[in-house]
Order: sequence, then C-alpha cells, then structure tokens
Amino acid sequence: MYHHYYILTHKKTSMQRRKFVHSIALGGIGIALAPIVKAAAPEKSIAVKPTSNIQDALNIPRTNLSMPGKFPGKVVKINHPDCFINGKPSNDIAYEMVKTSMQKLTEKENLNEAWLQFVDPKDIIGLKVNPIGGKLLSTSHAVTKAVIKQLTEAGIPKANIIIWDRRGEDLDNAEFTAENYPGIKIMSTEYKDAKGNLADENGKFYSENEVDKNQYFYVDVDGVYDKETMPYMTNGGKNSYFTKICTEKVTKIINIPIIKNAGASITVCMKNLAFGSITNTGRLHQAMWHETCAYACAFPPIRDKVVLNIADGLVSNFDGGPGADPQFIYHANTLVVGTDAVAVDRICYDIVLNKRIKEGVQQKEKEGARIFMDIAQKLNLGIADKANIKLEEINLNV
Amino acid sequence: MKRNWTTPLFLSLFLVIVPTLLLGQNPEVKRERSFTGNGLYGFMDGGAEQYLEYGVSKLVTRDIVFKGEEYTIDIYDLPTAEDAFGIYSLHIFKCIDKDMQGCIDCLSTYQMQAVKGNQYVSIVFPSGTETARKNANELIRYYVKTDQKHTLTLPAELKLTMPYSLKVKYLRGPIALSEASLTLSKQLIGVKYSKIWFIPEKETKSFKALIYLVDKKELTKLKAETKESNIINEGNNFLYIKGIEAEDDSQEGNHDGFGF
Repeated sequence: MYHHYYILTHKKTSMQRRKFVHSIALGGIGIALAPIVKAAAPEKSIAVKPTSNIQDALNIPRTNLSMPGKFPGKVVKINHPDCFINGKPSNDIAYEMVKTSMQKLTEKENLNEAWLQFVDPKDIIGLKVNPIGGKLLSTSHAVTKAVIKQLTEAGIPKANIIIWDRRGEDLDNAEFTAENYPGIKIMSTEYKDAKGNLADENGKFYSENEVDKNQYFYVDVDGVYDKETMPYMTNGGKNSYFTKICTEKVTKIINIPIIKNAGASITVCMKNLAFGSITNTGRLHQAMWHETCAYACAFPPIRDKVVLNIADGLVSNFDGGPGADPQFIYHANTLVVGTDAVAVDRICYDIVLNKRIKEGVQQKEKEGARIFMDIAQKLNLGIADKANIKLEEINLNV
Repeated sequence: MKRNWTTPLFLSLFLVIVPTLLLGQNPEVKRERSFTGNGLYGFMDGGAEQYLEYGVSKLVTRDIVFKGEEYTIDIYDLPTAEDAFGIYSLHIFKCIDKDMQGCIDCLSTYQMQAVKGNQYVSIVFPSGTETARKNANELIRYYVKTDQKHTLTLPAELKLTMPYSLKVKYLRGPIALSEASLTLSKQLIGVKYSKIWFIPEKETKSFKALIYLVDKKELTKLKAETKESNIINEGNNFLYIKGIEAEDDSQEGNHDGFGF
C-alpha cells in the first residue's frame, strides 16, 4: 500500500464535503454513526484574510436591542446533577433550571417579569435551535419546551413562537416537528417537498425564495460546489444571504444552541447563529471560520434581534463535533445563560476545553482557538475577556 | 402404573409460552438497509473511504426498537478478523466495560462496539441508559452469529495479551494511519507497507509500530531511514519500531470541517 501523506491533505476538501453530505443523509440516530475522518493536519493561520463587507454592517447604527443585549458580560451557569430520567432530560428539572437562571440573570423574582425584560406579546419570537446532531446531540426538547412554556406563561401567544434552523431535514431528524410542538411553527431555510426534493421541477431550490438577497455577508472567497452539495448551500459565489426567517419573519431571537466542540474550538452561540442564518457557508469554513462566526453576528438581522442565549449543555460532547460521535458524548448537566453571546461562548469554551484536557484529547489550550470571540469583542458584540465576565454559578439539588 | 400428566402438561405449556414470550421480545425493525462495496458511499459518503481501506464488503444497518428503546445496529463484513478489529480499534475511545467474557467489545454510554469473527458491529442507543446498554448485548447475540472460521490472531512480536481493546490498533492504509499517528504517517511517506500493528502509549506520548512491508526492498529502505536505537525487532517482511509523537502533530483542527 503506497502511502502519500500529501494525498490526505489535498483530499481534505472532498472528504469533508462527503462527510457533510453524509450527515445530511443519515438522520435519526444514524447521524451519530458517521465515522469521522479527522482533518489530516491543523490549519495554518492565514496572514492576509480575504476582504469582506463587515464595514457595511458596522456602519449601520446599533439599536437598544443590539448585542450584547441587556446584560453585557453577565453569565449564569446552572448545574443539576440529576437532570436525566431514564436517559432523557427531565422536562420538570429543565424547567427549574431555565427558571432559576432567568431569575438570576435578570434579578427578577417574578418569572414572567424576567421574560418580559426581553420579549413582549407582540413579538414574533424565533427559537434558534441546533438540530444537526440528530437524536443524540441536539438542543434538548426539555429545554426548548421549558422556554416555550415560560414564554406562554408570560403571555406570549404560541402562534408567535417559531422554532427554526437552516435545514428542515435536521429539524425532522431531531424531532422538532409539528406533532411534538403543537401550535408552534417549525421553519427552515432549506426544506423538501412532499416528494423529497429540495428544488422545484425547474431545478430552482425552494431555499432561494427563503433568503433575503438584499442582506448578505460578502467575502472575497468563491463558493464553488458540486451538484450534490449545492442544494445545501443554496447559492455559490461570494455572497452569503441571510434567511428571511431572520430578516422578515421574527422580531426577536432566542438562541438555544448546544454546547459542542469544533476541533479545539467550540460551536455554541455565535457559530449557531452565524452559520445557521446564512447561505453559501462551505467556502467560509477554511480561512474565514472565526471571522464568519463573529462577522455574521454583526449584521442587523442577528445583532439587533438576539435577545437571549440559553446554551444547552445537558448533553454535550468534547470531541467529534459538530457531528455526534457517541464515543465523545456525555451528560454535562448544565445550562449557560446570558444575553451576551460572546461571554456565554467564552464560559462554554472552558467547559469544553477542560473536558478535552481531562479526557486526554488535548493537553493544553490550542493557540488561536478563541479567535472568533476576540473578534466579536472588538466588534462590540460582547465580552470575550474572562476577567470582565461576571459569572454566577448555581448548583441545584446539591 | 399411574400415568403422570403433569410433566407433559408443563412441557407443552413451556413450549408454547416461552417462544411466545421470546417472540414478543424480538427487535422491531423500523428500517433496514444494505450497502455493498463502493455503495458504502451512499450511506456514509466520506467516511466510507476509511472502511473501504479495510476492504468492507457489506454493511447491513437496521434502525430498531427493542424492549421500548431505540437502537441503530450496523454490521460490517470484512475480509478478516484482523480487518474487523482494525476498524473497531479506530472507533473506540473509552469503554465502561471492555473485552467482556473473552470477546472483543467496548461498551460506552451510548454505544456498544464489538468484533465478531470477521464482522465489526456498532450499536448506538440515544437513551444511554443502563437498560439500553444491557439490551445491546442481547442484540449482538440476536443478530450476530460468531464465525469461528475467522479468529483474531495478533503477531507474537507484540507480546500482547487480552484485553486487546484500547491497547493496539490495526492499520491497513494511509487514512487509518493518519487517524492513529501523524508522526508515523509522515515517517512512512513513500514507503510501501501492507499492514501496521500500532501500540500507542498515551502517558509517554510514544508508540510502537509493527510494520509489514510489501517487499525486501521496502524493508531495507525503511530500515535505512530509521534510527537504529528505534528498531525493536525485525524479520523478513517486518520492522518493529518505536517513536515519539511529535508535539506539533496534534490532529486537532481549530474547528470543524466543511458544511454547516
């Protein structure tokens, strides 16, 4: 067997694409089974980054809702050692965890008052979940249902609540369905018709109608995809369009990501928002991953609508992310809550890093793994400097 | 002599009731799919390359419900027991229990993996409960018939005894090798080998590798490129070496790959 190391690195792109398509094709539990062929080598940082239209975003005046929201730098981490019953997160305990963290975050004893700090009954509220890990490693239904219950108790009509993500298929696989959420709208940018097609009879992707061509993130990197990948990118070229879910359909976003690793970095709040809201993302994973996590959040459809982040770490992972390799999934039994997505990410980063070190996946922090948080701080999206983050940790049932 | 009807009655009841009960416990297959050869790409796309490197000829994957729990059970057919062990050895990380009752298996919170003859078996259970883990064992017995024609034999040079899980990896090509060790992967650039038994030493960040070369010429070449002090043993077609995993050969990317 001839061994060409360079083949591995040169084949990286095609292998990664296949890995990605696989995650789409499997679904259900099967999504966990994707045997991950790790990237052959860590990326080297690129000195000169491609140009982008980030300045256009920064030129748009901020609003009183702009990130980092009402409580910059404040993060509540709430733990419960027994939040699973028969292998599933308990709805009751998740409710208590969300409730207590909301009270602590807002310093409001009255739970309804706490929620009404961020939303009102006229709002159309989008719950941005992360369903790509299938049944094993997606935003839990216990936390999602707790949020919905508390919103409705605070007077938000169910009809004004939307659960959304980029891919309908992922939402289905993770059981974010109309049957599971009666009265709640389930929306995605990409979706299939009754015959299972992502495009109409003329080959036009349905998702093309679901994106806002006037609101886009430009990066001087061309998205070039094969025909299998294109339906999941919506478009190629140098623009990534924001979904109309963000630009038109919702007035507020509550971000409910899951706490996961992404190599030696993480995918929690900002990654969930950024890559979940725009098209043509394949091109952004190499030189511009960190920048995209931060820059996309600086555009008004996200920056001015995300009012709260509830990072779900009931189930978490420490390797194999953002897929769901069962070897690396564990019960972290925690939620990390704040209006400041950057600060929440910074706290979640430590959770993942400490677990990776404990499990021997890495020995120490990897240089550059937190770049996107630092970029976001420079863009005034939140606080990445841990010394300036006020962390409140609560242990329930201890 | 008075005939005793009790025994045949109990026997009849036993023969009727027990199979009925057992039938009631049979796995309910929600979906079953088979993939052969390159058809594996249709199931796992990029991941297939690693499996095909080991010569996977067939995969049967079933989504099932068993005793109220959901499972996905995948059974891969490979050419040899060593190949099945090779795939297995790359996919285990930590085991709650391993190599139970003389078998080669690894039980973790959400997954049971095992080598049975020339088959690699993976069972995933999203609930991660103790019950699901116990049931996984039953499912393996239900679906996998141990084929005694294929038994795993480790080279004597390794001087290893059971349990083998997490102790040694079996590598058949560059994809598997890069997964196991980038340092060795780089060291073997341009060297033609047929298989490698790889023993990682996590504590000392070192490794031993029993490398089988395709011919004498390759053996001579590798030997010439290897420090003498790193050679543990050699034979007609193999070189047994040791090495240190280079610090900068960490396989951790800064983030995830292509896609979402």
